[in-house]
Amino acid sequence: MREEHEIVLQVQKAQTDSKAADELIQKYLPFIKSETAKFLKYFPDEGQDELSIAMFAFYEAVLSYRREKGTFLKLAAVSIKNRLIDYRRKEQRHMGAVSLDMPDSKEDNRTLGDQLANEKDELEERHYRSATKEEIQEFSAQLETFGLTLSDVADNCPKQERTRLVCMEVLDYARRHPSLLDQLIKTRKLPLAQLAVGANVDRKTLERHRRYLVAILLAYTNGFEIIRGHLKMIKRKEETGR
Amino acid sequence: MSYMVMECHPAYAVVLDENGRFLKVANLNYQVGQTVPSVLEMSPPKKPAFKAIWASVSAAACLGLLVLGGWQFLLTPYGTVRMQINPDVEMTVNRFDYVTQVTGLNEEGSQLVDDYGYSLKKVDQVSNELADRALEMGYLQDGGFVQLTVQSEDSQWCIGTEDRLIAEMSSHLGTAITVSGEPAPETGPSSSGQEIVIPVPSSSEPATETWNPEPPVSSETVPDKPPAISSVPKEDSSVSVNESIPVSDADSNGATDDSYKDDDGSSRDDDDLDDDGSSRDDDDLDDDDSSDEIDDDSDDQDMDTEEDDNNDDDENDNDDQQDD
Repeated sequence: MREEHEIVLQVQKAQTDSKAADELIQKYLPFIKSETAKFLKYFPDEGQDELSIAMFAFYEAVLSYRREKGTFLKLAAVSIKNRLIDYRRKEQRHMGAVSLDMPDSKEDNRTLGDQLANEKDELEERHYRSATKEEIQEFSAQLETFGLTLSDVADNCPKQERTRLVCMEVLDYARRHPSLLDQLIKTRKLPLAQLAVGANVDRKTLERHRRYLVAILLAYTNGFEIIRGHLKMIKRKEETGR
Repeated sequence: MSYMVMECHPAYAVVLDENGRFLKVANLNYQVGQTVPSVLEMSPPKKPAFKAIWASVSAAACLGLLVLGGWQFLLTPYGTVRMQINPDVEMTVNRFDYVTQVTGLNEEGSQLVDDYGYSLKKVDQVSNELADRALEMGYLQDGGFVQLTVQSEDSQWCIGTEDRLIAEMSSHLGTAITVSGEPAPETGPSSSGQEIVIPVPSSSEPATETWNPEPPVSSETVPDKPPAISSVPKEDSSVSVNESIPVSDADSNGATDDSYKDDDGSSRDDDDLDDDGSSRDDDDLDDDDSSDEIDDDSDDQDMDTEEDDNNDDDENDNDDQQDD
């Protein structure tokens, strides 16, 4: 009984605190593994896709748990099982395909993937990735000065397409008025009033998605070319579409 | 769609998609900075409280629709039963044989159904009760005639309901009052002293055969005849009338026999005639003609005898009709 209460408190804390969620998942990793093993009929390796999905399902269960609905671990078990079933169904479509990770038929340790002609320059790829990583780390460091984490931003991300488009309009307006972006950096505050009037959108909508707006506007300040490049692909499409 | 991995946690990763959305997805051994073509997104959290309200609202709506629909279904007329004594009453019936409406089609009918509560009663009960009321109010007396006409798009239901109602009412009202699906031979309140006979099932077929050709004959040749049609007091006597015909006249006896056998006999003739065909057809036709004539004669004679039997009644009837 006390055990149950403790886990309820932990889960409730993890629902708002991403760090607590990570800890909770580490703590219950054996449970997650055993649930996965029940489904797979063998014990999962560390880093196996099924285990990753089971952990994700456990996290989903943490977020959706409501105390009055029953015990948490039952919910987590069901959630894990359902996600694994979904995953297996999805994978069945590729049953006939050959994995690139399969060992070569010859004696050496190379896989099929290694044998393919490597068109991209691997070195450049690695450089690009590390540059991206650095940029993202800088980005999240900047976000931290706003008191935000990327998890917070993801939670605050507009779910509806309509809302997302409103946010994009605000972004457009801000890009046309770079002084607003400067103001954001300088004051560490979102110039909500100016944005709402300028982009002619409801201020309430902006307030509701304040954290997301901070992140997306921050991405359009100086120094985040790679992130911007990733976003631009669709941005251009939208502009031509209009 | 490609997703840039922004942040990795043990259980999930935060990725940025091309539309600028930040998503939490399953972390399949991603690394920060990696770009992946597809992700396993988090299913949107459910809102059970709202769901419960929604479910109850929709359940209530469904119930309401069901009740309304059922009510509509119950009130939909499936057929009508028209009862003509002299009061002319029409009952609207739904598909479960419950009466949904009763209307008087003439003045007496309106009086008859006035203050009559028909709700939640089946058509059998309503027709019996209306007949009782007609008896009480003096519209219907012993020897009276009740005509039932059932109308519906469902012809099978029509026949079934008519047969059932006739049987039901006949047993309810007794033998003194006749219930039929056919129009009364002589309608109207004038049939006070006179008893109309609808024969018992065994004799019903010959009776209709003999009576059907009558009306034109009676209207053209013998104006006084109509009341004579059903002049015999009781079913027993109607049978006796049919039987009395052959006794009274030998020719008619033979003729009726011929005509009676005609259906069966013709087939026999055909068998015989397979050898040489046409001439005999003519013969047959001749026979038919002659038999018809004889039939007519016999009918006339029947009527004559009946007239003799009920001369007094006939006169009364004629007087009544003239009064009308």
